[in-house]
Amino acid sequence: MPVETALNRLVRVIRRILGMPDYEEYLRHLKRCDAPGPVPSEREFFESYLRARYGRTPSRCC
Amino acid sequence: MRFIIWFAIALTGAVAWGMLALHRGETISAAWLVLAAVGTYLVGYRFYSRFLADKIFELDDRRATPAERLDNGRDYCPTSRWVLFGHHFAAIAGAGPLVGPVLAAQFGYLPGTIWIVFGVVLAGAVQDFVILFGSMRRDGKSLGQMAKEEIGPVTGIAAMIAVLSIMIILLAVLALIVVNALKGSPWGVFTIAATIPIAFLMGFWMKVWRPGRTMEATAIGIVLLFAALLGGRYVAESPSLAPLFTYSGPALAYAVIGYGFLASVLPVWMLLLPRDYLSTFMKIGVILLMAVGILLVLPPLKLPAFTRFIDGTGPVFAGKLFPFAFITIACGAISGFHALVSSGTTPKMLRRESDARLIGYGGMLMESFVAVMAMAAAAVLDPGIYFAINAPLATLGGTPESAAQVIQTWGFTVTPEQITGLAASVGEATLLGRVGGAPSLAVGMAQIFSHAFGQGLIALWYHFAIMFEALFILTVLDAGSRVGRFMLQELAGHVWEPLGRTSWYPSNIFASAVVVGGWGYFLVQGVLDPLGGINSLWPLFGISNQLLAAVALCVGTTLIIKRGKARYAWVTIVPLMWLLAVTLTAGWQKIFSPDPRLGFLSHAATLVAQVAAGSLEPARGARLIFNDRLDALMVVIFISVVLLVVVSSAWEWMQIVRKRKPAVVRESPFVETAYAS
Repeated sequence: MPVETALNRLVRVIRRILGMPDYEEYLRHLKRCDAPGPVPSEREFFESYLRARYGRTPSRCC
Repeated sequence: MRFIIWFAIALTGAVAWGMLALHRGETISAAWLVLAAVGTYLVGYRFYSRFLADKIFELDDRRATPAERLDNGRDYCPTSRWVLFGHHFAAIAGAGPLVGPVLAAQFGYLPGTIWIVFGVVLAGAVQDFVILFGSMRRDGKSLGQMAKEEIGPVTGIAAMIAVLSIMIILLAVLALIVVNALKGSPWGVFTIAATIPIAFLMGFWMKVWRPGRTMEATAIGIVLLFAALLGGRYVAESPSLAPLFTYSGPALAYAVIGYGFLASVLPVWMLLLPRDYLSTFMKIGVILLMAVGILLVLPPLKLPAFTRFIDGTGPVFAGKLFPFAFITIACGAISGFHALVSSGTTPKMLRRESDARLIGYGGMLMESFVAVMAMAAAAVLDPGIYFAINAPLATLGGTPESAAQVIQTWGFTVTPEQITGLAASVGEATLLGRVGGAPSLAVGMAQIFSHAFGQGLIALWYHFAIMFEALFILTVLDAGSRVGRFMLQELAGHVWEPLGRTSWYPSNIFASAVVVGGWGYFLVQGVLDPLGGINSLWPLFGISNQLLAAVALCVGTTLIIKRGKARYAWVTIVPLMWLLAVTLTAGWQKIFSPDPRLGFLSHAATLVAQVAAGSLEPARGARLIFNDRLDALMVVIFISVVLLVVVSSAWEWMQIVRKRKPAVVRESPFVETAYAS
């Protein structure tokens, strides 16, 4: 369905701009690189995203 | 053909500048402001940024970026350039470019606009671009790491102390803007208070109930946010509910401090993450809306090009056009804070090296355009109204009548009825003396929006604008307190190792309390200041932000010289010299000026005299005197740290240029990209 793909693409763009996690993209990435080890669940992925986002460097400006 | 197009663009920009500069009369259309800015940006982007990209950085699309080499599907992630442009812009644009121009409008619209537009092309965008480039070639290293590795360990620690103290002042002044916008405003307080339970709801949605479903949660949050905006009107009009949400400045200040502490120790997913999404979404939405509004309405600018206050007697903040126009407008022209973002998430997401030009240089041009729009929004107000909102209450007297009288002595006409009428039309009890820029920006935006999208909704638009500003300022407060906490823990870890553990709860509480207490102290000082606080705190913020930019430009110059491009190092050295001239002059005047309105020390001296004469209560006097001296000390600290960085960098440059030290670039080695070009 072209409408659905367009909508999906829009959602992905908004996600990326707002800096939201993208689990499906991550799964695709793991498949692409044949990463060893178990695949993290969506919950685990979200945890690691939080740690990466609010680390020691500011991600936002005044 | 190309030549003709670029000639036409340049000519349009030049004509627009001519119109702005030479026009002296009733009003002039904001169209000229937009044309002048956009014409200059296009020429700057096409020619200057290309020169930087080709001749100095030698951006190479055959070289794989960190996003490609280190792709982990999370922070390192190749992203198409327009999406990344949006991401980067959302990260750099904030309250700074909106508030600074509004305050600097006390000099008239022209000086600020010239600085915003030419400053960005020659300085601000160059800084963002060079730091983004440097970080991209070093696998996304931060500004502090680059300073340490390229210049030296002392510089690294100095840069860190600079960032931490700037953060404290920045957070205080932003919190003060929110407090001044919300005091005595039940509508505003209700709307903003409602964002806290909304954030909790979103947080539990994303984390507990439907893990990872951030889009769903954000959509729900946005709907609830608009409900809270409408609910605010109901609360403000209800005689029983309104008093529950009406607070004085000091009460709100303590509430904001408590909130900041809570946000800094709670897990990020509860408050920070959901608010971050909401405010980013709102920010992009409102900025787009504002651009459409201004382009649709092309409102006339009622503020003169120059006001008499260029002589330094202005009520909004003290000091002459030079250097204070260039201090007041930091973000939008050049903002040191961007160096932290440009060496943060963005360099890890660049897909191709050449994208850095659009994102680093172009992203900053976009922020500059936001600042121009803010200037336009301030300039559409009647000058009398502008000063009624932005001058401190102590200057205006407490009533519309006294304010109108004072403003007339400045040469602007405004009637008490206009002042009360405007406040009533936006659903507020009073707009007098709401210093800080946010309220007058909101009034300007509300006027533009209601012209563009339907009359009669002006109160709703005003509170929409206030909500949007307060929302993302509070988000910066959350995020900034947390980052400040990490930095403090890292620094404290050098002293006593356990304090450096970010997973140790007592250390977290301690560091959070120190950081929040730090900005909280300056916030309370600002709220209690009879002149409204912005007077003393905003220049401190401007000076500190510009000095951070000086640190970034030192790092940038070092990178350029180490690449063997010393003959082009003027691209960062010239802006660096300008910033040093501006900030050192301003710093000197803020400390030593004999004018008590301007100099911290002479102000303290007049207070001492008042206490001695018995016209000021000793306890209150002692506190005000201490604050003046503390502010002076902050300036001394900023300036010493930055001079240290500048001198140690200059030493390093001389060594390399004189070939006493080899020019070693610590860039990651070249790896050929796997992408088809």
